[in-house]
Amino acid sequence: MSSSAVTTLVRPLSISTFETLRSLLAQTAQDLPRASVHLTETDLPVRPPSPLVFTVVVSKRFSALLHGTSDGVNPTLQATLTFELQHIHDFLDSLAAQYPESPKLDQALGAMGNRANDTHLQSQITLRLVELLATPSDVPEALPTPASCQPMVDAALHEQIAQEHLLNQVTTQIRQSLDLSLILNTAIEQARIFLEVDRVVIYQLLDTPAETDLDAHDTQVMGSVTYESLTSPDLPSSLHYQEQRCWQQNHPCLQKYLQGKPLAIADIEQGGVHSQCLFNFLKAMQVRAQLIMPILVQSRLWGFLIAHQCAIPRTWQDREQHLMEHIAEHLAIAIYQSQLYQQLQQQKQTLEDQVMQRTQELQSALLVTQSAHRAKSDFLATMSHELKTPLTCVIGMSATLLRWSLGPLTEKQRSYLQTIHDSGEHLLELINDILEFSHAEAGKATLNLVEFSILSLAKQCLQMLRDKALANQITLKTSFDIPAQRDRFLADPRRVKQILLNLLSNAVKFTPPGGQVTLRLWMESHTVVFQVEDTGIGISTSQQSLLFQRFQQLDSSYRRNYEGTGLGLALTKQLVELHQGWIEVTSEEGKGSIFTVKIPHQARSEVAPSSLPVLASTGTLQSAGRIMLVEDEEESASMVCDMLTAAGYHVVWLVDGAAALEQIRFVQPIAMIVNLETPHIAQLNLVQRVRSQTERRPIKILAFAGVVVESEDCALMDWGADAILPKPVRPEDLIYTIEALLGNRARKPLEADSLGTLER
Amino acid sequence: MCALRKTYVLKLYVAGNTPNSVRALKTLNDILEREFQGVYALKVIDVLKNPQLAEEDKILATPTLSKVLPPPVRKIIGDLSDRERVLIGLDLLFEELSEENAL
Repeated sequence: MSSSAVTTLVRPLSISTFETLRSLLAQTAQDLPRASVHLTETDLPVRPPSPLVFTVVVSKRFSALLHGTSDGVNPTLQATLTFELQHIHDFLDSLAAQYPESPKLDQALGAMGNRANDTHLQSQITLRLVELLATPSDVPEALPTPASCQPMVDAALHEQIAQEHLLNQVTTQIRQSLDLSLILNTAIEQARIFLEVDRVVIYQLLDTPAETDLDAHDTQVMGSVTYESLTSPDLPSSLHYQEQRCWQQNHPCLQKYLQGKPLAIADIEQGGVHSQCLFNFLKAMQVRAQLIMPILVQSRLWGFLIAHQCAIPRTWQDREQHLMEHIAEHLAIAIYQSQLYQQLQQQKQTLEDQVMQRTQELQSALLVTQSAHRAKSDFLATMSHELKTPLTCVIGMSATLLRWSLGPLTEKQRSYLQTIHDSGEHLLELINDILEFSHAEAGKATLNLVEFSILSLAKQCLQMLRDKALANQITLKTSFDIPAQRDRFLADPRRVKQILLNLLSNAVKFTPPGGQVTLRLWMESHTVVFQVEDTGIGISTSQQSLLFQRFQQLDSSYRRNYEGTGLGLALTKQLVELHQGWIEVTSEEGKGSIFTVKIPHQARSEVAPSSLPVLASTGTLQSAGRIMLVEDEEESASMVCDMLTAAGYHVVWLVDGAAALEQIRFVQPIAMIVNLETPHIAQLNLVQRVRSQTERRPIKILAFAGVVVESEDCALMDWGADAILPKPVRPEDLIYTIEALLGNRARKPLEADSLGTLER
Repeated sequence: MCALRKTYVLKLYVAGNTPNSVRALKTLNDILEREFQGVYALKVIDVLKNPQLAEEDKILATPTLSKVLPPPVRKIIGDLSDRERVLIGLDLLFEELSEENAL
C-alpha cells in the first residue's frame, strides 16, 4: 500500500476544482484509444445516493478515478483522486455489487489493464493539471526588468515628467494670463527648448477656414508668421513672413490639417513640401526638417505650430508629435479664450459707447427741455407784466371814473363802468394765478416761513368771503378746535391763506343758494387740519381723480355756470405739497364735498432768517409796498391813487407836504411821488431832505413836472429825483415808470431767473 | 378765485403837526402793516391847511379816520389807540365768532 500513498490524493476540494478535474479526466478519456471507458455516476442504471459523484477512466495504458462525497453542508467535497489500479478495481467492484445489471460497469472492469499507467500519459495529465489549477495570481504582473534596461526607462520617465511639466506650464499660463502673445511666446520658447529644435514658429491664418468651407472654390488661405522662437540670433528670422501664392487652392494637406493631423517632414530635400515657393522659403530659412501641427480653434483652422530643424534632417518621434499636439490643443484653448475675451471687451466698449451716446442725447434733450421751460417761464413773466400794465390802467381808470366828481353818472354808465372794473380785477387775478402756478410748477417757489396764528388767519379768510357768501345766500359755519396756547404755527402764511381761500371760494362757488359751507379746524400732534365742507353739487367718484389736475374743470357744462381757469385746485395741491402736506376729497354727487388738508408744522431750520414783511412782491395777497404821494391836486391824485392801488401798492396820499418828512419816518414808503409842477422851494427842499434823510434805506423819488424843459429836468435830477414824468401824467407811463424804478418789471426777456426775482 | 384783494380808500384827518396827529398816523400805519389784507389808498388831510376838505366831509374833530371804500362809509374818531375798534371800523375784524354759528 506504500505505492498507493504516492499515487492517491485524499483531501477536501472545492466543487469548482473537483469539476475542473472531472473535465480534465473526460478530456483525457477522449484522447485515449477506443478501448477506453469513461464512466460517471450518470452512467449507472440507478442514481447512487446523491452525495457520491465520480469519474472513472479506464484503459490498458491509463486509468484514473476521481470520486467525492458531499456532506451536504459545505460547498466542498471529500475527494479522492487515484491512479492506483487496485483502488480503481475495488471501487468498480463495489459498484458492480450494488448495480448488478450495468453493462457499462462490466465493460469498464473488462477494459482495465494490469499495468501501472503509462508514464508519458501520466506526465501529460500532470502538466495539464498544473496548467488548469494554476491561479491567475500565480502569474507575475510583469517579467522582472533586466538590469540593462534601467537607464532607458529612467530617460523615458524623465522625458515624460518634463513633458508634463511643460504642458503644465502652458496650462498654468493660460489660466493666469489673458495676454495671448505672452502665452504663445512662452509656449513656443518652451517647446523649442524641450524638443531641442532650432526654431519654433506660430503661423497664423488671416481667415480661419472650417472644414465646410473647403468646398467653396474661392477659399483663400493666407497667413503670416506671427510668433517665433529661435535657438540663436544667427538664424534667419521668419517673423512676419507672409506668403503670396504658396497656398494653392485645395491644398492637399488642408483637409488633413482640418482633422487636426500633423505633417512631419524629416528632410525637405526628400520631398513633402508641396509648393515650390514654400520650399524656397524653407531653404532660405535653412530648414531641413519640420513638424507642422495645426491649431484648430472651434473646428476652424486658426494657424499652425511649426518646429524647424535646421541644417540636418530629423526623424520626428511619436512622442514629439504628441507633445506638439498637446501644446497645439492648449494653445487652441488659450486662443479661444482670448477671442472670447476680446469679444467681451468689444461688447463692453460698444455698450459703454452706447451709454455715453445715450447720456449725451439725454443731456441735450434735458438742455432743450430746460431752455424751453425757462423760455416758457420768461415768456410768462414778461407776458404777465405786459398784460398787467394795460390791465392796471383799465382797472385804475375805471375806478377813477366811478368816483368822477365832475358831473353825475347815469345808473347805466355806472353799471357798465363797474363791469369793466370788476372784469379787469378778475382778469388780473387769473393772470396772477397762472403766474403763481407756473412759478410753483417750475419748482422755484420757496416757503417764506413765519410763525402765525391759525385762528386769525382762518377768520381773515372767512371775512374775505363773507360778502360773496351773503350775495349767494350761503351760510358760513365754523368749528374751531385749537386751544389758544397752541395757536402758533410755523408755515408760509401767504400760501396757507391761499389754500384756504381757494377751498372756501370753491365751496361758495359750487354751492347753490340756501346751502351752507363749514370750515373746521383742529390740530393733530404737529399737523394742522383744515376741513371745508359744503352742501354743493358734489363730485362724482369717476371725476375725483381729475380734480387736482390743472386746467380741469370737471364738467364742461359747468363752465356756463361757474367761472374759473380750472387752476385753483391744481395750485392748491401744489401749495399743500410745497408744505409736505396732504389734501384729500370725499364727495357725493348732489349732496356736497368735503376737502381735508393737512399741513405739518414746518421744520425750524427752514425758517427764513428775517420774518420782515417781504417787499416788492407781486403775490395776489400781499401788497407790493407803500408809496407816498404828495399832491394837492385832487383829480390827479385820485387817478394816481387808483392806478397804484390797481397795481397792488398801498398809497399814502398827503394833500399837504409840510409834515411829509416826519410821516415818511413812520410810513417807510418804498417810493415817493411828488408834484413839482410849479416847483416851490419847500417841495424842492423836501425832495432834497428826503434824499438825505433816507440815505441808509434809499427810496425812489418820482417827480411830476410841468412843461418839460431839459434844463429843468436836470435841475430836478440835481435836487434828487430819480425820474420825472410830465403833467398830465399818462396812466401807462406812471405804472411803467414806477415798476421800472422799483425793479419790479421783468427787465428783458430771457434774463436769468427773472421770475424768481419778482417773488423774492 | 373771486375778487379777494379789496381796495380800500381811507381818509385820515389831522390837525397840523401835533403829537396826536403824528401818533394817529403811526398807529394806523402799524395796524395796516400787521392786519390789513387788501390794498389801500390813504389820504392824509391836514384840516388846518385844507379846511374846505374837512368841511365837505363834515369832520368835527381830529384825528378822524374815515373809510370811504368799500361801502359803507365809516368814521373812527380818536387817536386810534384802540386797535380792535379801528379794525372793526375798517371792517377788518368781524364780530367774535362762536362755534358752528352762522356768520
